Amino acid sequence: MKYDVMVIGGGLAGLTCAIRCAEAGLKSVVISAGESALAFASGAIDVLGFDQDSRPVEKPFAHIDQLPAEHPYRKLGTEALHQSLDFFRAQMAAAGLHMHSHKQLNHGRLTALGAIRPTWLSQKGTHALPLAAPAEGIRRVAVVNLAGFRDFQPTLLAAGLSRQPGFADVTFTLADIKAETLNINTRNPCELRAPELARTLRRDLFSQPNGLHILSSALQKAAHNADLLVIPSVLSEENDNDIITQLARLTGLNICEVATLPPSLPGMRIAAALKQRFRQAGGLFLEGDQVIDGQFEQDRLLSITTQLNPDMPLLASHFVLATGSFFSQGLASDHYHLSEPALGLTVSSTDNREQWSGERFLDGGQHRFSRAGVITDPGLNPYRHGEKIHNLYCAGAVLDGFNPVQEASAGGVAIGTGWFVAERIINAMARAPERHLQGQEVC
Amino acid sequence: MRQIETDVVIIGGGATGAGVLRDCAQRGMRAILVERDDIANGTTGRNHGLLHSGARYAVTDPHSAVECIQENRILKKVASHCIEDTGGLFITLPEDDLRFQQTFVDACRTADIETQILTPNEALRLEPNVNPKLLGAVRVPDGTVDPFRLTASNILDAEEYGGRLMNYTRVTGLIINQGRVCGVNCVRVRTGEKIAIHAQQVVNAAGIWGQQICEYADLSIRMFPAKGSLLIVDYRVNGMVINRCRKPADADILVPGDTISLIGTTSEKIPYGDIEHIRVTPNEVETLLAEGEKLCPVMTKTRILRAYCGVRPLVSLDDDPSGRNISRGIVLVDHGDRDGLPGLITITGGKLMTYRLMAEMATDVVAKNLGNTQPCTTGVRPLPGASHHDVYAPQVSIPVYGSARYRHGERAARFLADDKKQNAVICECEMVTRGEIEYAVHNLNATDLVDLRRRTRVGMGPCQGELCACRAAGIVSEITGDDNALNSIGEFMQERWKGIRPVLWGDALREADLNYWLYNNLLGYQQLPSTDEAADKNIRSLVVDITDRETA
Repeated sequence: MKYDVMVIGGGLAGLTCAIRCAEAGLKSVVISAGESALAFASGAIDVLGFDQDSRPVEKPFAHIDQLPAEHPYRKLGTEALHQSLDFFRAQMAAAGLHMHSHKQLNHGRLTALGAIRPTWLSQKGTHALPLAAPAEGIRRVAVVNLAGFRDFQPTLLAAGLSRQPGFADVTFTLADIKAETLNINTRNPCELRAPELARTLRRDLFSQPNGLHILSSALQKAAHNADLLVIPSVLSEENDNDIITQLARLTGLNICEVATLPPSLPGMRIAAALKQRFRQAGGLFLEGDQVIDGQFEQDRLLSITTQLNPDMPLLASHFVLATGSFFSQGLASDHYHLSEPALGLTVSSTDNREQWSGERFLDGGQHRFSRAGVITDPGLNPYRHGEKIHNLYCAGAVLDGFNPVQEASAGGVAIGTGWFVAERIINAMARAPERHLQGQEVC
Repeated sequence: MRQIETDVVIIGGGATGAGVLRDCAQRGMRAILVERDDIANGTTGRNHGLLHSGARYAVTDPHSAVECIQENRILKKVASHCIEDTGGLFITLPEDDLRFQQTFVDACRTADIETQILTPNEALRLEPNVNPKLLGAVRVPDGTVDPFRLTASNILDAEEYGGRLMNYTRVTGLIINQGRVCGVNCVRVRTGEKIAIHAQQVVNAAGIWGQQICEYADLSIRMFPAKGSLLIVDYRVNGMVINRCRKPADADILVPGDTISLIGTTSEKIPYGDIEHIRVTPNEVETLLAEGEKLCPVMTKTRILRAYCGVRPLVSLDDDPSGRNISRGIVLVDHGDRDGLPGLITITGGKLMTYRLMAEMATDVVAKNLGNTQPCTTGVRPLPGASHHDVYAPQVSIPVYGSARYRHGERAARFLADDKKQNAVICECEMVTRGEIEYAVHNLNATDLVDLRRRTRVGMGPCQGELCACRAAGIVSEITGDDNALNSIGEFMQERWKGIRPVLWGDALREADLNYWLYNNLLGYQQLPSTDEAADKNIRSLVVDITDRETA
């Protein structure tokens, strides 16, 4: 069995790439180690929230040209970035997950600590705050938790939001709707995580004919005619998040769902929608396995081996490495070196451990580890022992040259680079039809 | 300026200061302890938590050895919930001289420390992870002590006898009247409020910072700060304390504690001016790892969780540049006798192990000066938590019950409620419940997340506060209703980072990458304007419950 494209990594970058390839008719497979970083994500897509001096960016696309040359965005260019995001948005919509933007402009995403982060694409159910005047039209805010859910803290959200410009005079009302009110019948509702709470609500509350009304009247009571009702994102695992639409209609309130501590439902929805689209496009998704080695011949990667099948090399014409950064284990480190553990690719690094990070943890501009990654050429091909590997491409957080947190650029880079390498592979396959055919004959 | 009247003011909220507060309160004196930060934030909370049997000092410092074994026996009785009676091994490795073992055993006998010589096989059976190349081992009654819990229990007991803690209160000067110290001027660190506390006796128990207190009265006590660095290993690799059977040297003690083990300690003399800015250097990390591996080879394969360092308050008796041979004995000075300035007493030197004895010695002088003839009872009355009463808590799981009981003794009964919300686990690494957090805020003077860590171990496990920092801060802010809890998330993460950064590789880097992403991207902590930029809050109501009846 030989695939046209083998994508290592089942997160945002890997699946965007794999869906594009599969839709173009390439025989595609994704190998995923497990739950991706999307479970830790807000579910909004950041393109570029801050410039290199950490000043907020209003027009992310207009700013791409000002980034340093080694930045992934500079390699794919503004046009490709636009196309990739249009592609992603259409894929999400096709899976029932509708996302909105303010044309080319960033808007504010409310966080669970009451911070406002610039982002570009948000899910239904979130309230996009105008970056210049976030408090516009808001006099009263209600922050309402459900069933003592421990991964959302209304007091902290209110304390943080009240510090934002224009919010000093805003009145905050905080409430918690009791588990009994929500008909929740479980061992300890206070220990449920977001997806478990959503499943419990579906089972115990929304399964009842008046379930939605019970919730909407409790929310109305708690919200006291607030201009903005903030709730944790725990109501629905479904892509379309229809419950929030119905609640807004029933209560007449302006509701804003906020991503909770992980696992975060809005991020998981994107992961689910991506997997769904990939399968629908005919792709094969192998979950729970990890690439441990690659078999190279000069400038080409011939096959890879995995933890579960170390004796059975998996063959493909093209490979994509989208394994994420350190916490996804796409990058690794020992006392003295940063490395790329799966294939041994060349990583930007310094051997002086003290220079990997800065002294202030949350002032991450100094964290080189966050910017570090696999070095690539302008076509996102990596290097190994000084040799450029022509049929291997890198995408997403495994790449060198950007700080996804400091810039607020993780989503855009993942989608942009994933789509960009897919286009390169599709073109390469079109130019070499005989090779494509060979691959098919083998199976 | 606010004026407060009392009998005794104690400066410094380490174990010694807390012990003096307890002792004074038990003898019926009115006493206030002032601490510029939180309790156990200085040297008390930055050592290896070894409950010495005295064996380590038996050869080189017999006097300290005797003090240690006596206090060891007392603390096992009165502070049992802060102590694990693990026992200790002094092992001889091929590079050590086995003849030293006899010298060591003889010295222990002189100090009345029980010893038992073991064959290598016997030692391996007791402690399977010990270096199998060992030539011999001696078993001694070493144990471990949790310094945070010990200090908090002393404070809690003192308060129950009428003593008072004022943490986050910095002493800005001594009140000196007609050649007598009669109190302290302080400032509340968080509010800037100035307070004068008038007292007949002032006890300087500020450890290494005590030199500055003495300077307020132009007195000189020369401190020679010696930095000691330690590493924490992610899981408990050893059951017993493991020492090298040789003269004390760098990094030759491996101490288990709760869910972790730690290896220490280096010793490096530092200039007095550097005591606020100490950090663990890469060289120290290498030394500790190399030496730790000799005690337990499994350490090389174990994740290092964090590194930390403290400053020993050594008072110089000779000119030793390493700081190791300077006496670690107890130094007690009545400045009335020594400097003609009555009303001020300095208690310093010593070790965590002898904190109670030091407190007794200082309180004896205070009592004499005040004409109080009550005897010291701190060595016989158990601390709160150490009374061995049963705790009935059928509603909680065994790990939650065990952790609560382990940390708070019978006082765990105060928060192991028959209430789901109270019993919800907030910190999963250390099994800390909402109830325990609320108890620590209400009863143990915890004011924010950083304080809470010392009372409950919240955020001290492998994840280093990934989710529980936010969860716990939310609970604290529900109780206090102020902004401080939100601010303390940043302080907490930075405090954790200080310990993680020296060992930032492998899983530690992985965890840091995730935490950086969570707090700055998902939660946007860095985008929060700081408090001083904001105007008054208008948060109308705290969390209210919407009941069935109201919504019906």
